Amino acid sequence: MSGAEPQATPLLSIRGLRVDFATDAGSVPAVRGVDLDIGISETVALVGESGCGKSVTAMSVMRLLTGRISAGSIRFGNTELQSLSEPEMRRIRGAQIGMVFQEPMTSLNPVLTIGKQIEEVLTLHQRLTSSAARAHAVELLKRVGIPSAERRASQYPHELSGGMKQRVMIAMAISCRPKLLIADEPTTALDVTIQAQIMDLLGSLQQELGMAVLLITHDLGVVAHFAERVAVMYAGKIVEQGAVRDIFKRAAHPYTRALLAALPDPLRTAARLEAIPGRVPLPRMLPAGCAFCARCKHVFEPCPGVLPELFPIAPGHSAACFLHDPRRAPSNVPCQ
Amino acid sequence: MPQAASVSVNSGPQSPLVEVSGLRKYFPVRGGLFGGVVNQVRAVEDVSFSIKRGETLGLVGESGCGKTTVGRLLLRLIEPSAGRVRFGGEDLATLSSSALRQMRQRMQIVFQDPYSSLNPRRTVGDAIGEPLFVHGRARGAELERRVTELLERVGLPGGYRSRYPHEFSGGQRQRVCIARALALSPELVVCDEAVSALDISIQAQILNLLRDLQDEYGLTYLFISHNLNVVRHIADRIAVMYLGKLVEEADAERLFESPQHPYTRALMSANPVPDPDVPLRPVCLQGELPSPLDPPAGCRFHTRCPSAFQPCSHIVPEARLISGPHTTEGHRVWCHLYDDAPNSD
Ligand SMILES: Nc1ncnc2c1ncn2[C@@H]1O[C@H](COP(=O)(O)OP(=O)(O)O)[C@@H](O)[C@H]1O
Ligand SMILES: Nc1ncnc2c1ncn2[C@@H]1O[C@H](COP(=O)(O)OP(=O)(O)O)[C@@H](O)[C@H]1O
Ligand code: SF4
Ligand SMILES: [Mg+2]
Ligand SMILES: [Mg+2]
Repeated sequence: MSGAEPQATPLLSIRGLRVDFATDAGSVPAVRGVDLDIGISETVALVGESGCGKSVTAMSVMRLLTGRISAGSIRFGNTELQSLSEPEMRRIRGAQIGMVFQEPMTSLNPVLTIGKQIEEVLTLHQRLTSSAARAHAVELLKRVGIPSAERRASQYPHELSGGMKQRVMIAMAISCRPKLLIADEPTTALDVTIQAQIMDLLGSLQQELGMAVLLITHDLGVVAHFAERVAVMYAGKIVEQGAVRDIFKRAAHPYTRALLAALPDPLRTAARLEAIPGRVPLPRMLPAGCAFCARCKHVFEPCPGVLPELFPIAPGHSAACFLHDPRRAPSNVPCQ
Repeated sequence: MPQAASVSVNSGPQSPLVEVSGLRKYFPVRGGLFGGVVNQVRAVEDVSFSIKRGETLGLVGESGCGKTTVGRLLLRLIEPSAGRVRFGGEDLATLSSSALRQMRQRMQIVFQDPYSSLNPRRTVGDAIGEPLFVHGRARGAELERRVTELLERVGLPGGYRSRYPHEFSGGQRQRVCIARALALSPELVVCDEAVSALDISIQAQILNLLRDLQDEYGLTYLFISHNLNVVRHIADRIAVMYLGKLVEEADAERLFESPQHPYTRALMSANPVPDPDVPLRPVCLQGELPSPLDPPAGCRFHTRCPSAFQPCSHIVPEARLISGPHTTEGHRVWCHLYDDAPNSD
């Protein structure tokens, strides 16, 4: 593990990202001002419950969005991704930024052998003879732990188990040695023993390639073991950011704390879980202030009306909650 | 384990409500030119367990290991290929169809997907009231009163009875499904991945609700889930399945503290606890899950077991009883490493 503070010159830098979807019921804000940095070869987890905007954030980086980026900047190295033409973006996608999704089946082509699919990615970004591409594809399959890789290369996706399909997806995503891998719920559809294998594979590839990983998941167990830094999202905003131990041991935002307390934990068994009352507000019912205020047990006078910014807690650790605003915080700040 | 020779004496509070023995389910696979049976999926093989009244038995194992099939066999939603299910001391196979219908009112099921288990065109009040109406338990104003009461019991305003499923969130829909399952005052509720699709904050609400309902009505649960932490939280005892067979069964605490079967150990070791200071050292299982069309001989786990030895590939291990702390109900393991331990039957 490297340092837990964001690097001075990050690989990916998202600032003020806002995404809105046009729906029958009007415009729906999905991402409402996200700032996120990912350093070179760093693992950052983006966590939060379904619908909070994790995938939309990832798709914005990849420019694979059906919605509209209404504001913000996404810099990758020295390049502003939003200013690129589609052909320029295609050269970055797959080659510099790889992506793995939850459902390998929907991202693999059912009528092409897995070997051919990897060869296609390779030849799209590199000048390779077809025999070199084939050999490279088999090497990649071996590297991601597919047994009898030569034989498997001529199989179709439906002939593989879920775990093997995910390995193929990873082989495709890393085929051009990307600097950043975005893994959106890569193990959510998999059983826990397979999940352990896939996460282990991602970890070793990351080391080998020096690649950064944006790990999107709702599984806090996975986050605890694989992330260096964590960003917690709620209703389209990042509400807390910090090193993994900041989040799990010194959580500062009431939502993060409530989420951790609501988890069934085999090491801390109690008859009842501390459930969070209520539900995430619908996008059209968001308060002007903190989106968590209706469920928060610390809510006080600025919360419903004023939007809290990310207040610093410690180096690299911040929380969007007025309890941590030195100008407003009530004297009885709940301690850890 | 109760291999009761006696009949129908199981009415005391400590006696099992459910006793399953030698349960087997093979699903025919049709194919070929004439659509004949060409093979069979050996989904469940020789499964035996019992659940006491008011107890929660957790059933865990990876997808396709047969958990849902066991749940459906228990409720007799499908016929077993062999074996016996006793409910309240009565063998379900010997019941007449009308007696079975009566019996079914005493057992209910809640599924993972509250979206597909509710008819989008019917109000949730109709959905909850239907079993009461169909079984002639309530009509008219009384039916309305009961539906309101059930909605309120699961934490929803009674006035929501005239709303449609699409107006509810996932967690609220699961509450509606639970209210419907409770309508006939069942004794057993099978929860099949009932909280698996829910977000953490909502999952905690539903787990608390299930616990409260159990305390209030003395419900017995078969709680099926692939999530080990959830099962550890809710279950008194846990049974672990692999490829259609039970491999281990013990008190929940005991199973987590001292798993014995090599598969249970692998499963536990791969389960990430949400704490970065608890090391994760997964035991990697070799190879892939074999097909239930042609499960391995002997111990079904032997092709992937890090401890496999000579008898494993051809002799089916029998249930052995292990003793130790927290083993009030017996800790059963199906593994040749324990062949010296006493036979559990
Ligand atoms: N194509 C779309 N059209 C309209 N709304 C969308 C679309 N995609 C996502 N959303 C909305 O954006 C919000 C964030 O979604 P998403 O990023 O997929 O959440 P998650 O955190 O579960 O990945 C949700 O409220 C979702 O309903
Ligand atoms: N109706 C059916 N016909 C054929 N095979 C089935 C049927 N139902 C389940 N199976 C098979 O039986 C096995 C066990 O399935 P299931 O009980 O659903 O497992 P689990 O609930 O543990 O995921 C799987 O291999 C599944 O494909
Ligand atoms: S800002 Fe206020 S409402 Fe929001 S989480 Fe903090 S205390 Fe609660
Ligand atoms: Mg998503
Ligand atoms: Mg199932």
